[in-house]
This record gives sequence, structure tokens and C-alpha cells, in this order.
Amino acid sequence: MNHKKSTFELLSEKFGKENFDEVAYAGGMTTIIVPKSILAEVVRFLHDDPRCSVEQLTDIIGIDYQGYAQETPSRFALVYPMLSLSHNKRVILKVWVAEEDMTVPSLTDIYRGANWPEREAAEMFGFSFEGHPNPKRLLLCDLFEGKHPLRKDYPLQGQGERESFRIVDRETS
Amino acid sequence: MKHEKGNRLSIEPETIEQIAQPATLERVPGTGDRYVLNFGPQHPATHTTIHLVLELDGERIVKCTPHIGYLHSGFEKLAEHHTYDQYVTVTDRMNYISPIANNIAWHTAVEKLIGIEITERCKYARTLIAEMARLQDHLLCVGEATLEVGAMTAFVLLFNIREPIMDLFESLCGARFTTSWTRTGGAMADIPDGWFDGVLAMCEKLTQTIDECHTLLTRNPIFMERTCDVGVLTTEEAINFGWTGPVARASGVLRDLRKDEPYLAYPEMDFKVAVASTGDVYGRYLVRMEEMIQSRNIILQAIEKIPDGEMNVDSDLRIAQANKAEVYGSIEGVIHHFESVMPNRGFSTPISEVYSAQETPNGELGFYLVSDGTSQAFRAKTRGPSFLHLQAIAKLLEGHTISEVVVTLSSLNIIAAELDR
Repeated sequence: MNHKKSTFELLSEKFGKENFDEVAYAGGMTTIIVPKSILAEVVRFLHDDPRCSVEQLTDIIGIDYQGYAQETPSRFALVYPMLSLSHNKRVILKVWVAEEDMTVPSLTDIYRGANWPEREAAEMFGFSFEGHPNPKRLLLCDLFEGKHPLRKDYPLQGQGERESFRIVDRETS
Repeated sequence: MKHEKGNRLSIEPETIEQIAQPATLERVPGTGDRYVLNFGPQHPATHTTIHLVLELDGERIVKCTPHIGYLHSGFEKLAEHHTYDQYVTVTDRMNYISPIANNIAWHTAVEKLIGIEITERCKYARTLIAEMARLQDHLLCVGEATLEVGAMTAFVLLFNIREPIMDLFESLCGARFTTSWTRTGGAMADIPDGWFDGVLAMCEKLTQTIDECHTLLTRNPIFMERTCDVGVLTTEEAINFGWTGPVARASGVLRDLRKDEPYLAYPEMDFKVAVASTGDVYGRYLVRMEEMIQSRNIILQAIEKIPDGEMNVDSDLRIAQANKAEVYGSIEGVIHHFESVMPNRGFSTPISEVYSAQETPNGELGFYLVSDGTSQAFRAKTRGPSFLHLQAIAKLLEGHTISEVVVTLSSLNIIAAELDR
């Protein structure tokens, strides 16, 4: 093989060039912007194709860009750092998610490791992952029902959860 | 203690039952002979707070449902309100077994974001100390694992050698646990005089301890009976579950960031990566034992090769802490010193994003940073290895007995502060 195609080239070839965008950041990281509608197919292709063979999903990172220094296409984004062990290469995907429609396809049927990171992103930012086997809250207690603490408009001091925490004593338990 | 009724929140009775389940056996309706047992959140073997709901058929586990979040402290929200140098104090609280490894991983991410190269001396020092943190972590993990199967002697042996490591950290930065040793572009202080002698003495003792531990455990029929074929995960499953670090290598995953994505001074070091093929608790024990030997080798090499010179990057960059001689000797030094501790007067960052990962004792610890040009992170996501490891616990425990729960949990070395953040 004389010329190895990059992941971006392979994806453009398969799904059409107009769907993707590549962003290079200062620290040497390159992120591929993927439209939300084809995310599941793209990840399935990356996982199955031997030229990519992205076997592992490292993490799922939700970001709220409200008040960011730069204009962004939409308020929320999900970043999927992934890893190909056989090629020793990291692939980082980014999906822009609009505030109006926060439904994102779940990757749990491709990567079992996506289960908890998706639940965490869902409760912290309010994403809803379509096809998730167990879309319950993971880290937060019941007082946070309907609240998303990592959003930028949620105050650092909280919204009174600490004060209204139910105290269990011997008589009432 | 009396509490006013006004403070209580009205929660539906069903929810209360879900929160405070009594620690007794309950028959699962409609299944004949199955019982539900709550394991934790307070149990010595969970080390901190992890809640497992075990559905039992006799003593066999039919189904295991993990509940986490008891130690959630909102670290990622805190990161958005602290400067990069302030947040290092939170990173060591995130890992109470080998805190200094988290310090190094955090500041490596910050340095990658602002694009500075640290000095050679700092690279070697960080490599050395990251390996000492690995020893600290593995000694605790193997020690606890042996305690869980009743081998008290090995536990005491391993904890005895852990003590000098903690003492060395204390003389390095003044704290045994909450180290916060690193700073952007260097460290809080250079290595003290005579510190390397202490490290060499520790290494000598360590070899002897590990030999003794091998004699006690490695071919011990009782230990093997308890650990072989317990909590098995195959290579493909380990990769699919997102496993990294020693637990993944015990399942046969050939991956070590120190070799595959070399950072700090690891390219100059001669060491081997320990891999096991069994994927069980015994394999994890063997991998950790071998990694301790390799860590010791790296420490010895680092002491030999560490160059003299500055620990911090050039102070003209206004990134690292001010040199103390300059602070007391010149007005520029005083200004630098004050600016570095004042809010919004510290170094600025580019508008960028970065993912930086390091091989910490437990696996891949990654930080995803989004910066908006100020001295505080816009978003700092921690990719804790334990978070992805514990997901597989239901798979690991299925079909095993209750006594194997503690063995499996301790072999994963779950750190709940990192798990819940």
C-alpha cells in the first residue's frame, strides 16, 4: 500500500464529502464533524471497516457552548474520542446538537462501553439517546429530576438541592 | 438530633423505598427461590461507596445491578470556576490511591493546550514520580486483594513498603495524600537534596517485598483457588467495554500508552509491558506484580539519567511560577508572583480544544479541555478509567458466588471518587 487514506477521506468516500468537516486544533488534535442524522452509520462503518477498525470508544463528552468566545453552529455538542488499537490511532468525532432537538442516536449496540457515558451526558446536559437500553439517571439523586447541572445556565451553588435534601432518621426511615 | 419538619421534601413513598432499601434478603416476586441482596453502599470491600444489587439463586448471583453516584461531587462544574493551577488540588482528591499521577496527567493536558514544552529535568522527574505513583497504587491494590481472600501477611508486607513511598512524597511536597505537586510548566518545587537516596533505598526494599509476596501468593493453592477463573473478561469484550490499563492487559489487550503514545521521558526508558491472557482476577494480580518490577526499573533509569538544570520553564513566558530569587530580588519578579496568583491575571490560553491521555496506574486517564482564552477552563471532562471498568461488573459477576464479589471488586481497583467525580 503506497498511499494510506485518512479516516476523513474514507468517510467522505463512503458517505459523501459534503457531510463532513475537519477541524484542526492548536494542540495537534483533529476532529471530524459528523452530522447527527448519520452518526450511527458512520460509527458502524468506522467499527467494521478493516481500514479504520476503531474498536474502542474512549469516552463521550457533552459540551454546552453557551457564552463561548466563538460563534458555534448550535448550543450543544457531543465529542466521541475513539481509538483504533490495531492502527494505534485516535479518531475524534464531534456532533453538533441543537437545543430544540436533543435526540442523539445511541451507540450502545456498537460499543457496550457507551452505556454509562451516555447516561452521564444525558443527565448532565439533557441529551436523550435514542435506543439506549437503560436511559435512567446515573450519578445524581432524585432531587435533580429535570435539572442539568453541567449546563452553563445552572449556577455553581446549585438550585437549593443541598438545603432541601431529605433527612432520614430512625423514626421516618 | 432533631430536624425541623419544614426541611423535609415531600417524596413519593415508592421513591423512599428505592433510596433506603433495608439490608435484608427479599424474595423476588414470581421467581420461586430468588432473593435480592444489597451489597453496599457501605461495605469494607467496596472501599468507598458502590451499591450492588445482587439477585441470588442460593449463593449464585443471577443478576447484578450496580448503582453509583454516592460520591458525586461535581468536580467538572468546579473546574469551570477555578484557574488551571487551582484545579490541580481537585485532581488529587479525585484519586485517593495515587493522587500525584492525576496531578501530572492534568498539567500535561494543560501544557498541551497552551503548547509549551517542559524542561528535560521536569520530564524525567515527572516520569519518576508517575512510576512511584504506580507502585503506590499497585501495592494497595494487590494488598487489598490479598486481604479480601484472607491473606493478611501479604497485606501487611505490601503496606509496609507503601509507607516509605508516602514519606518520600511528603518530603517532596509536604503532603502524603493531597500532593498537588505539579504546576503549569513545571512543579511547585525542585526535588529536595538527598531525595534520590531515599528512592533508591525504597527500591531495594521493594524487590525483597515483591519476592516475598510471590513466595506467599503466586503458587499458593488457596490463593489460586479463589482467583483463577473468577471475573473473566475476554479480549474482545474488554476492548468493547472501553477497558484500559492493567485490567485490560490482563485480558490480553496489548496496549500501553507509555509505549503506544509515548509522553514525558518514556521514549528514553527501557521497560517491558506486562500482559496476561487469562482475563481473570489471577491474571490481574500477575500483571500488577510484574508492572511493579518494571516501574522499579524505570525509576532506577530515571534517577541515573535525570539532568541538572531548571525545573520550571523560562520565567519570561509568565506561565510557570516565579523564581523565588527573582521575587525577592526584583520588582518584575514580585509582579510576576502576584499576577500568577491573582484571578484573571494569570496566563491566557488559546481558544481551542484538546484531549490528552496518560497511562495512570489504573488505566487511561484523559482530560478533554475546552478553553475560551481565559485562565479558566470552559469545560474540563475527566475520563476516569474506573468509570468504564465498573460498567462490566454485571458481566464479570454473573454466575459467581457472593464471596467472589469482593475478590472481583478489589481486582478492578475501583476508585469511587474518580468513578463519580
